[in-house]
Amino acid sequence: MSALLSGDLRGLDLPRDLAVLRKTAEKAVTQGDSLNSLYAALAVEHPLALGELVFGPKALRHESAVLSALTVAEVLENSMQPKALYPRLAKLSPGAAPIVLETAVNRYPGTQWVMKLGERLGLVPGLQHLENQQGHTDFEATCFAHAQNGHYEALFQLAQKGCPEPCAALLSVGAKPEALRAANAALDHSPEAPVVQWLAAVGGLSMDAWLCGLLPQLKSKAAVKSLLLVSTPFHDFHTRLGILLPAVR
Amino acid sequence: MKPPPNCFLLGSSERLPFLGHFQLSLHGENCQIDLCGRIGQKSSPEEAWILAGRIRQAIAQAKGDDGPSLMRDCWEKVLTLPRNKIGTNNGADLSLLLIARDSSGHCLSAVGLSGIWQHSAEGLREIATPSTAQTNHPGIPKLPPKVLKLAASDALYFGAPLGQPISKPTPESLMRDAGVNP
Repeated sequence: MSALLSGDLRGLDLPRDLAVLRKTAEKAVTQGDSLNSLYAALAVEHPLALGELVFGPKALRHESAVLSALTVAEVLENSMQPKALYPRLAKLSPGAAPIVLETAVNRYPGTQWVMKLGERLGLVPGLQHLENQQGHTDFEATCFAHAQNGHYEALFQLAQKGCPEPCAALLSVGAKPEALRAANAALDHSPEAPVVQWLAAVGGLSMDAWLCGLLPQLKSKAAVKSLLLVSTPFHDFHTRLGILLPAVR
Repeated sequence: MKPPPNCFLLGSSERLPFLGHFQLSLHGENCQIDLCGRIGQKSSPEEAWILAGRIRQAIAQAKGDDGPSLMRDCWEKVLTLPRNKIGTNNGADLSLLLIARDSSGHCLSAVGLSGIWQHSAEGLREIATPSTAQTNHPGIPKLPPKVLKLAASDALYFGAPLGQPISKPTPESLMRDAGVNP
């Protein structure tokens, strides 16, 4: 491995040697060598040259090069606005796009441009990880961590499979409308989904009026019956469920 | 219209702060009792909900002609609950605060609490601390806990479950930590 790849930039004269640097980096990624050390050194000593390699007109398009770029994302954001940087990185390597998106979501949760990037890439931030963790003992903790990172759509999609944990996770970060939407989705899939128990464990017993927000979207008699069995501590919610029961099929 | 509850248990700092919480108001002819509690801290939300429901249902059967007698019957219902129906540790993690009201005033009894505060027009007053023997018994006792008589006609009460650190509470922080909507 060359000294450059290990982060030793002595003897390098930039911008004159930019072509040498690019050639070294291109060769490294085709051979499977990591650019992490080189990028870390450039981030400190030559951030402009780093930008040329990572997002410039002749930026490296290899997946591992883009993944290495993410290790110095904070420095790159000083040279290029995040809302331009991450789409550029995703475009350079479609293979690395899911991780580029994850990084963007973690650094800028809930921002419009991140949502649009996800839509454009056809990816839902956090979904893959959540699906992988489903059924594991730490699924609850995973849901809460993803809620903290703003992965609301991914949590909603998990709720659509009848899971109550995403509903609680959404409520824990104050995403109340999203928590209600997720709870309704869970009940649509599994009328006996224990969403009230999970929501109450996060929100407490003073959310009677808020729980009534579930009522307009309840579609099945089975869901209403199931909620009636567990809603006794919530007086208004329980009463309205009783009124609603004869009206749903 | 149902009167709002006047006692609240503070949530924990865990991921599920209100796991296993329950609340209930009972109305006798000349008296009323409000209670709040929690159980099943090592359980899932579904299991804790069932345990809380059992205690709630048992206490809901209590009867009494005045505050103290209604309170005594509430404890009777709790003490006679089959231990194997209230969690794997036989109810040892129960926290319960009862406030009874009748024409003679308020009275209070509790188990599993490290602090109790009364918030009235006179301000916030600490009623019990972690060392208050009448309220800090961990879980279901063998005998009903002692009753404390209180001077206040209109007040809210907040309890902190055992083991929960509380530093210099204010009425606002207590309301927030109890999950009471503003």
